[in-house]
Amino acid sequence: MLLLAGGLVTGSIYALVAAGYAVLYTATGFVNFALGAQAMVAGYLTYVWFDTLPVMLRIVIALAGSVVLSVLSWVLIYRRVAEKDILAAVIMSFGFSIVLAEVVQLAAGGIPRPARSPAGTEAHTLGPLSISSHSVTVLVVSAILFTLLGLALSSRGGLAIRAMFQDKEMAETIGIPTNRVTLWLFAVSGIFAAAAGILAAPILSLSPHMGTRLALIAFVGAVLGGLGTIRSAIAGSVLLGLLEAFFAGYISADWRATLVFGVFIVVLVAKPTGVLGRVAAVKV
Amino acid sequence: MLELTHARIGYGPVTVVGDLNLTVGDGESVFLIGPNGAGKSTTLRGISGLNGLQAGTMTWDGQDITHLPASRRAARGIAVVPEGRHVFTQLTVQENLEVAARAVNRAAVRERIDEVFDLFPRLRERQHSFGGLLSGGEQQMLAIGRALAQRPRLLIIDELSLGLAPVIYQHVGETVRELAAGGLSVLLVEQNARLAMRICSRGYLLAHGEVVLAGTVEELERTDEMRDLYLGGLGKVG
Ligand SMILES: Nc1ncnc2c1ncn2[C@@H]1O[C@H](COP(=O)(O)OP(=O)(O)O)[C@@H](O)[C@H]1O
Ligand SMILES: [Mg+2]
Repeated sequence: MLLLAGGLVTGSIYALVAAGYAVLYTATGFVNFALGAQAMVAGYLTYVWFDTLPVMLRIVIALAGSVVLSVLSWVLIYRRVAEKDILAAVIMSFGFSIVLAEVVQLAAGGIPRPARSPAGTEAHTLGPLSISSHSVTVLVVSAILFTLLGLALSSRGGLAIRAMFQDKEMAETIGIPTNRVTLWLFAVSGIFAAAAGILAAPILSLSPHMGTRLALIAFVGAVLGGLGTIRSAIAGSVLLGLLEAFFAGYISADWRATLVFGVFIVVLVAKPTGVLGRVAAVKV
Repeated sequence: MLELTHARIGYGPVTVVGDLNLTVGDGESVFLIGPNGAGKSTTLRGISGLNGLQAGTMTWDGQDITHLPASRRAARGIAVVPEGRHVFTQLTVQENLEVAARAVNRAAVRERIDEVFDLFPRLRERQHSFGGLLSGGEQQMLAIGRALAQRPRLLIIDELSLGLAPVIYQHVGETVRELAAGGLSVLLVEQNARLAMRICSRGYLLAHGEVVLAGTVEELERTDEMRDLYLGGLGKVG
């Protein structure tokens, strides 16, 4: 039970980043590896840099900072390149995430910072299960964010976005301003990345390079489910969190990174569209 | 109404259509015919704005729209049925119509969808099916319906009959002919010359990115090119 809860918590954090990937990928074909670094920056904005301000305000600053990073990096760095060569843009996003990590390291030092969860750390016992307030917060906040995203996409206004996900040129032809919608989607991915960073920092340690690891694991989770569908990317990441927790619990905690990338290789070889991809594609 | 002057259209640095002069008047229906690879679809992509003009100008009601983004042309009254229909496969028939109707104007969305259903009752029967599950003929009706849900002034159709059984494209073609007769401007790319000539009053013959013939249906019928290539034994029988 403990493993199940722990797996769901880390899985939800991966899924927040994975949802960010999937939102952008379905709209533009672009994988923004810098989302992990944006999560890390949001962590520093929340827990390190503004520690005299009230916590709610720090969270707002972190969300806003991540949105600005998301949108500006697309407009100023990736967009032109992505039009010609999407893979080059993906590699640039990897480079940008290293730049962000180095900048934070210069500003705040390389040592991991403690991050105290705004939700507190007291444990709750539910029958055989003991779970911290922070873990409950992770589950509740990510569930709320996923639900809001789902509701937004299935609404009247979301219809235009779903049309754009399926056929961008046709959406443009019927009058949907796809460039403007893309900016909104980058903003949304920024919110998801920031939420992941704020929620992850008290669990994983907050350090300049935590984003790189988060970016890679969430990517593996997203590919495991299927990057082309938002809900499969989320499901794949939760699944990966669970796999990781059970592997660490029953086999070896030291080899969990190996597990993650082992899964990645197996998925890429066995089914590049993701194990949940086909089922989800029919259902959307 | 629509006027292209010395238009050069292509992909990136590649030019496909060299120097095109083309007009579609108010209420006029015009066809574009020519062999595969002549540049017909490329021309339409230039008009819809998906491919910017490499040179030349385009005006709409006398206003220069050469640099108007594609997404702003639908609201001006230009609606496109692209080659291959491009219905939204994972949206239902009714959502396909709704998304197009709403994209140009939030008012009277329901009425415009109902108009399309009245025109193609088959779509009303299938309104809750996903676009991807429709037959080719139904998809063509949906693609045309989606364009009409925008209440356009110019309806552009690329390859109306391609891949459809004669009984289907005759039916769809007849609907388009009635719309044209009712005053809607039509620009039709169509390999079936008889079908094109029944719907339209004027046409252009395009080859290698250039207009080689242009004129009214009566004039074109008398040319050797049209007779040999499209109306003789080799052409499809409409
Ligand atoms: N995306 C593209 N990039 C580069 N060239 C293209 C592209 N699409 C079509 N072409 C070229 O443009 C020419 C005309 O194509 P097209 O306009 O589709 O002809 P048509 O519709 O008359 O059959 C062809 O030679 C084709 O190779
Ligand atoms: Mg064509």
